[in-house]
Amino acid sequence: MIDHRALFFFVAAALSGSLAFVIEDDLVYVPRTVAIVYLILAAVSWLDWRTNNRA
Amino acid sequence: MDDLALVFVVAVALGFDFTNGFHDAANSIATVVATRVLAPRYAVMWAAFFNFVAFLVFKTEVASTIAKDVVKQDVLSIGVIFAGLVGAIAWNLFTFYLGLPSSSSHALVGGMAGAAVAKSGLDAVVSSGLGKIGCFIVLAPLIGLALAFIVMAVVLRISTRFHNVEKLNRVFRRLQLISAGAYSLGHGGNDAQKTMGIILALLIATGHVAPDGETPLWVVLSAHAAIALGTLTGGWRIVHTMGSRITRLQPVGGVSAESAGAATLFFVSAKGIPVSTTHTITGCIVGVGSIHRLSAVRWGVAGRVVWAWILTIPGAAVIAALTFVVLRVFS
Repeated sequence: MIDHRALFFFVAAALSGSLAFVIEDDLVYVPRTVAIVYLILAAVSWLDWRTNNRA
Repeated sequence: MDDLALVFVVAVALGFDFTNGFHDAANSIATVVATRVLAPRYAVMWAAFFNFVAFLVFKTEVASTIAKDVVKQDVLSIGVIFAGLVGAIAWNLFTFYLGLPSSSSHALVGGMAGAAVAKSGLDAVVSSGLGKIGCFIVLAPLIGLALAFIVMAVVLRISTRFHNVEKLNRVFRRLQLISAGAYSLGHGGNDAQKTMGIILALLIATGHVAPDGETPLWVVLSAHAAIALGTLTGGWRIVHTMGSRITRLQPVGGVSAESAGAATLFFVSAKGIPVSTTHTITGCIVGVGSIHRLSAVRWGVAGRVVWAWILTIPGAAVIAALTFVVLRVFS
């Protein structure tokens, strides 16, 4: 059993993060910020899933 | 003769803008109509009004990007722009037939790039501009999705303190008027500017505007009027809404998705980046739908959006390139 939502957010973080390497310099903060937000959402989602599955 | 061709291509560009409003109206009014806050006829008037007044809120950075950051200025000509528009319109019709939720904006960018490459080779395109637009094909829906998820989570958290569910629903039904208005403002701001960009490119190519010139006011007003008229004409006919196709939305979900969509469109428009408003609101609806569990989202529709990401720019580019070649043969 895995948390599909956390996995989805993690993939979104990886996708956003990878765009930081190709986007022009003055906009590089956008994919980086989006990637960090998705990593946080992935972590929160996984914690939520773990709590619910323990209960 | 050149002036006649210019007027004709401007009319085609405005026609493209009109169909954009016609097609996209449902994105902003879906939840307002579904929850019976407004009758469809008044809901499209609401959306059309905000589509039009968007010119008072946004500058013309997106138009400048379309006119100056997709194709090199010395390659632009009436033929290139016309072929680009034909490529975009033909691709939209083709994908409409296939049921693929493609983006008019991406089709426009692909069409212009394809026609320019057919004229002068790969050097004709501005790779940095195309790269920026390409990155935001993926980033805009992801930003919308994350924002909608966060807004929905916060709203649900706050809502649990209220025990009167009926009253809460009434509040959110009314709040949808504001969120739908904001989204329509963002839609008008980003999408009307793509047409402005096309017309600006035409005016630069024909020497009516200097290469570093601003977008004339008549271009701004006519582009906003065309998209608003399209919304007014077509919106109420559209029965299948984005809201019910991807995940079933309640008023609270509608407010969250539209607010997140509006915020995303405000941000990208301020940065001068043309994005797909349809894909952005799709991302927002997926964000709202995935708040409880991912299975609440109909992934088939979201998956088709990904296919549209991949295929639209090359598809429209190929049609535009072929159109340009045919035009050159017969001219």
